[in-house]
Amino acid sequence: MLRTIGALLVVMGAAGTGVGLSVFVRHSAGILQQLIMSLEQMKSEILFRKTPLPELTARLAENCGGEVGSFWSEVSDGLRIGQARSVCEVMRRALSGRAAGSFPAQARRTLQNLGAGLGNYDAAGQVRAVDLALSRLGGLFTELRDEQKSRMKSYCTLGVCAGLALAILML
Amino acid sequence: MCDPIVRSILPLLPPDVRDAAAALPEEQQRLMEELRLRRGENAAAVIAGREVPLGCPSVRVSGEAIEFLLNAATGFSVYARTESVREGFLPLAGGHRLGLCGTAVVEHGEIVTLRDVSSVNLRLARQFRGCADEVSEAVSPGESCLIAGPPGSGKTTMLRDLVRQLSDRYEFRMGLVDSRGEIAACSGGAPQLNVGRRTDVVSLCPKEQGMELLLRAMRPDWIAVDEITSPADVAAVSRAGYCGARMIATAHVGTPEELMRRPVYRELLELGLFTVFVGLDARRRVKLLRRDELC
Repeated sequence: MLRTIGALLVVMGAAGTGVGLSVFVRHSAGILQQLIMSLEQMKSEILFRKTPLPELTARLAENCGGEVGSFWSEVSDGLRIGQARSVCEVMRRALSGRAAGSFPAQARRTLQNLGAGLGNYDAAGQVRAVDLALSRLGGLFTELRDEQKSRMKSYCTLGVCAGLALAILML
Repeated sequence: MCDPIVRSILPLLPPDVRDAAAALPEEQQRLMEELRLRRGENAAAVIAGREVPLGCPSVRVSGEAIEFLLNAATGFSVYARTESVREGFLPLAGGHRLGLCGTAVVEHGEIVTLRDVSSVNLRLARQFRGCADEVSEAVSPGESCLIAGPPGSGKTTMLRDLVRQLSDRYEFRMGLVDSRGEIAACSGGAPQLNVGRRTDVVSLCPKEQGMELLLRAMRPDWIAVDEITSPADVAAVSRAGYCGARMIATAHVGTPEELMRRPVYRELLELGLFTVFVGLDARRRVKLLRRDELC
């Protein structure tokens, strides 16, 4: 009886890990999508309204919500307090304050590079920096979306199979 | 204790300059007119007309310090203020003004922007209520008034108080074209400096268009405008001045007599629109003149 329960728990645990991994992939895709949408809005605001960055990032925070909204909210606060030396510094602080898995690693790097470009140039320079970030995040999102279905299935199947294999070995 | 005006600019300053400004005795803070930062030189404050080094030991100004100030003044968004940067100044909250010097980027013969900012001049806006008492009593309804003086003589301060008094004390409808945002210092549509209850303000708008807008929309008794400097300004003032509203304006000259020597102002005087002249000197002494006394 105990062996059976143990085997079941192993199967469930392994399957859970697989499902967890697939949920993480889905979460990453969602974050990327939100970041892309917020950068699209940033580009429009700079191009057509020339909205200053503290106000702009506050608007992004309001519109996005969740993890991405909280990131822009921190950036906005950092810019408003005005004790930072650059946008890059403010964005680095906001990113380092986030949990490791909250933003995909490549998205972090892209945002960090975007921070280095923001606040330094005229509107055209800002838009170029946003465009570059958008193209990188867009590429990342497409890659992730294409792999999403197969990877999610693989993670689930692998989890269940690994659990069953362990169970068989234990039994 | 810190003077409220100085306190309002402290968050904009680089940390070492901020500490030095905050450490000044309150009396000196109250008399502070400007803060001047020049790359590679010591930071200085203009106190009661004299430029004195800031801090003890003096604070050396680095390129990063100027960058810090620019970032704080624009919210890291110089791109949103290119029109002002092109003119060589940034209007700040509270009516203060940041003058800029650097390398001009010129395209098709016109300044597009400034890069490598080498020095900045932070001019503090102070409101001296009552400084226009004498002038407001001298100006009668139907008369236009020109305030003339050298830079730093208090023309804008005088203009602001005159508008306030004509609006509040004499109950006239005033229109104010605040083209650089330093007379009323509007924020979120509300003036931060007192320009009177019956004053309608057009902010950060070219003078000519602002005057036309006020005439069309608000039917003011007087229109006030700062710094008439070009023939286009003179043409705009003469157009507005003969459309029913009287004018109050300021002009950059050494003495009121110099008005007749500068072609742009001579043209303005020959129109006969202005009848009251207020001369201010570098020590802020006021001299009232009528048109016949000037010519």
